[in-house]
Amino acid sequence: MQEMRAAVLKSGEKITGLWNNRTYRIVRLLGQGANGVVYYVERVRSNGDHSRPVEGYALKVGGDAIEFQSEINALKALEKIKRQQASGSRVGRDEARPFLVEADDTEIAGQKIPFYVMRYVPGMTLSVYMRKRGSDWFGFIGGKLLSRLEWLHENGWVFGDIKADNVLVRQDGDVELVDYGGLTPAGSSIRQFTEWYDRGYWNAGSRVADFGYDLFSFAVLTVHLFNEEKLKQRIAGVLPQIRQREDLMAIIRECPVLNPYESWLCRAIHSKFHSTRQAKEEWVRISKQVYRMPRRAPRPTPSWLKMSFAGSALLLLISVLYWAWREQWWLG
Amino acid sequence: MLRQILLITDGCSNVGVQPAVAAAQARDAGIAVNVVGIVDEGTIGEYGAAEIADIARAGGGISRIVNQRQLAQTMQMMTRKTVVQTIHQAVNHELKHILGREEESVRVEVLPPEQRAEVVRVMDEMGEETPLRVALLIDTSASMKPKLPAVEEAIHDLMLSLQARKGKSELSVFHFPGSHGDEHAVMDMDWAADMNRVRRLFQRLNIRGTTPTGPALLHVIDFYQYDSRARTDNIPYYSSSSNREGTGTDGVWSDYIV
Ligand SMILES: Nc1ncnc2c1ncn2[C@@H]1O[C@H](COP(=O)(O)OP(=O)(O)O)[C@@H](O)[C@H]1O
Ligand SMILES: [Mg+2]
Repeated sequence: MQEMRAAVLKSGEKITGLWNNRTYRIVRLLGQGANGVVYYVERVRSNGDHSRPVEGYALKVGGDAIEFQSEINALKALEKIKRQQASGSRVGRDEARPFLVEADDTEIAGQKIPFYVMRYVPGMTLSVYMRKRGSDWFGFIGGKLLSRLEWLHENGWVFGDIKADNVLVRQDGDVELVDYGGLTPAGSSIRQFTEWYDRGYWNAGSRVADFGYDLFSFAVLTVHLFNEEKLKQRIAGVLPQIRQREDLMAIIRECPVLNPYESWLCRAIHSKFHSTRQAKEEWVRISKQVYRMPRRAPRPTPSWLKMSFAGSALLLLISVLYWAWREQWWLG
Repeated sequence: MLRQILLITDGCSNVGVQPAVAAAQARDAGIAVNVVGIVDEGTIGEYGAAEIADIARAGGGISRIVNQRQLAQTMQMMTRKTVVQTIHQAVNHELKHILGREEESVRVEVLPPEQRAEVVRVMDEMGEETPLRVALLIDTSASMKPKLPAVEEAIHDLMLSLQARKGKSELSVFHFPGSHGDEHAVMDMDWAADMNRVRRLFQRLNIRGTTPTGPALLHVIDFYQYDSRARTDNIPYYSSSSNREGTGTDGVWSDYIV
């Protein structure tokens, strides 16, 4: 098996496609995964056309050529569905942004390497977002994520590899999925998954792609977000053959943020929903209730607030010192 | 049909023909050989690691050295990768045939993007739908004993992945060494497509000290070849370099390749 490792590119370097002949400038590294390296890039316009604003994209440089092409095909399929649905109707903010901009090969250090260009998703991974901005956002973001899944499922696809790394959240709390390497047509075997999030791993069902597979992973995702320690302990402590859904439910019950969602999560884990739409609507209903519930405990200060508090305190201190130095009052 | 052998071992062979030679014969018969080396507390040794890589190379498969915890994930990943790889090789072969060129550079990867996309889409379908058989061959020499529960668990997990495929997928299980000198491998489970038979495979083992990896591989190759069911539904398009009479798949591919 030929394992190709994409060379690490530095910012400022350029990539030109051998077939379509378009050029992109590397701005910075976005992430590195099992099947490629992702960069933030800007399209370099030929013939010095500077009238249009610079467009930013995400560009993934590949690893294994066949797997890479499958991923491109998945994005193509989604783009096609989106186009069909958009024709005739007005396109909104992200409907205008393509899943796949183009796919091409480039030559790096004398080696031909495939790459593709996709929409850039500004934002941070779900776990970073929750840590920075606090669990109040959880219900809202969960609903947004379920809407994304609903769209995929209604069009016959299953995402497969749901995990905290593959969910990006924008500043406004909207979410987008990245890494479509696991995207699988409903009815086929899941193409790529992560052990902890896998229904089969928890002896909770098959690895055939259906909407319930993603909903199950979604449930594990919530556990991972709010009680990673307990999840790790369970996984390490329980024999694989007796690992079961009840282990997940036990962790959920211990977690205050997840309490209102317990019955929802139980249904997701036991594949009891009739559709993703039903699951989403139910989720949104619960989260609206949660937001209107009287608070028992004072809300913990989110870390960004603490930081900004520390920042202002520091500024105050500096200006006092500066003033004191100018006045030289201690010298009398 | 796609055919694989997955060898699980934790050390070096010490009896009989070199395992790489046996693996080369498997490859020649259209069976890909994958190898997982299990390490736990301690290493597999330089020699063991080299042998493992050597077997997979000769057998046209993949090798990995992992600990018990990673076993299940590794086995399902290897099986999947090897399916893709086998189909890839067969398709490259067809491509050379269609273009009438034998150079190494004629590969799916060099097709123009549009055609490549279409060919890989069909390859994905084949990977999902082509019948698959995986024969597991498990080293049960003394040092492996504490690892057998993890192996059993990983087999169960692999079965789960195979069951999810659209194409018929079957598993058989062998262990080696056998209970007496000239019994090199013992069948624990004949071709099966369901879960229930997977548990409690290795209950009545009498563990012995030798590791006849090469002879055990040959045993499984023979099993593959003399199994009547496997012969009748052999796929036409898997083509090892030695036998290439009318593959009858040109029709499928010439549509995509100009
Ligand atoms: N379109 C995108 N916009 C912004 N960041 C991205 C985008 N695609 C990927 N990333 C970042 O790069 C990381 C790795 O990309 P990914 O496609 O998940 O690689 P792999 O398939 O190898 O895991 C992601 O976790 C994410 O942080
Ligand atoms: Mg990823």
